[in-house]
Amino acid sequence: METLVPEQTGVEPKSKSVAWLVVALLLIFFTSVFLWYYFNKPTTETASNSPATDQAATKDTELSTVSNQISSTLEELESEIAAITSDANSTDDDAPNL
Amino acid sequence: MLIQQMTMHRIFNTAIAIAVLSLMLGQAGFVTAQEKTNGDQLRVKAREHRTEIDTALTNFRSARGEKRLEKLKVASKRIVSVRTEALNGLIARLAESKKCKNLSEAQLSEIKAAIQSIITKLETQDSDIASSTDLTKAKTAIKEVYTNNKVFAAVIPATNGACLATRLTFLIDGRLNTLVEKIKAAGIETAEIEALMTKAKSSAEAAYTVYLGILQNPAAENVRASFSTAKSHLQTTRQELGAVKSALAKLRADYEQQTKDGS
Repeated sequence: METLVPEQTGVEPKSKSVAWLVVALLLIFFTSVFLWYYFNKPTTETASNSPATDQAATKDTELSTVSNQISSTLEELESEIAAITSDANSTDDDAPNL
Repeated sequence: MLIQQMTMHRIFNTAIAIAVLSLMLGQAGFVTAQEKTNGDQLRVKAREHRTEIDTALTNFRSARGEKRLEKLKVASKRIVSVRTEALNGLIARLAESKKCKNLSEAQLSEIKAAIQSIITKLETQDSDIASSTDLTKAKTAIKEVYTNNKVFAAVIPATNGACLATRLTFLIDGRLNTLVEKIKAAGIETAEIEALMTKAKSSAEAAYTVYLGILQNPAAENVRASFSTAKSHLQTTRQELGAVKSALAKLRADYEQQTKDGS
């Protein structure tokens, strides 16, 4: 009997540790699932409810900005073509009457 | 389905925003106001020296006897040096200017070689005129300094044109191509835009070839026609890029509609 006592007391703490570990893992799992749901749910709602209008408006502004920027680049291109044409018509290389 | 659409929408928007913003913020090499000023300085300088040259030529015209050749040589020195200074400035600008930063090593090398060849020719002409003892021959040689090199009416504008053409090619190959790849990765059809880009690039490359031809032979009789051809190529590029812009706007509008319909 005396030899069995230490064996029994050695098993009990190990079982407790495993149990706590399982609880901790379950807690982590459910917390993760909750957080995932929490952070994904509002996005879906935003897309399907009235804030969609605001989002579309933001995207329209973005598109408008993009279009304006492309236009300004094309204008720059046009002005550079004009400058080259003007330089090519320069009279600086017309030989003078000597 | 909704989440998938939202993700694709985000990719599409981000792709457009990143690509076009960086494209427009000068990364494609388009000129700032400061650069425009720096570019113009070469022209202003040439005009200032032109007055100096006109004065030297007036002195020559009013000179008599042996003094005429002497005065002509003084004017000639200035006529040549204005050109060599402008060309050396142009070579320096090729390396420094953002306008020309998209030139490849090979392009930079061929443009520099063409300009250097004109500088060498000018130096030879300068030396010939300086040692001339015949007024008529000296006059002819000076006229050739103008007509055989066309530094201001051909070399400088052709160099600027070559830089502009490579910036456009870079823009198409770089920013626009990245944008299209991102749109394509989002599962959106881009064949129309890609066809427009190919045409735009091909025109920009054709413009570069024409400008390089002018640089390599600025005295050619068809220089003016070549400038018109190159201009026409650049305008085609501009039109195609305008069409790319419209196609992108349409693509986005369609996609917006599809997303609304889907939700």
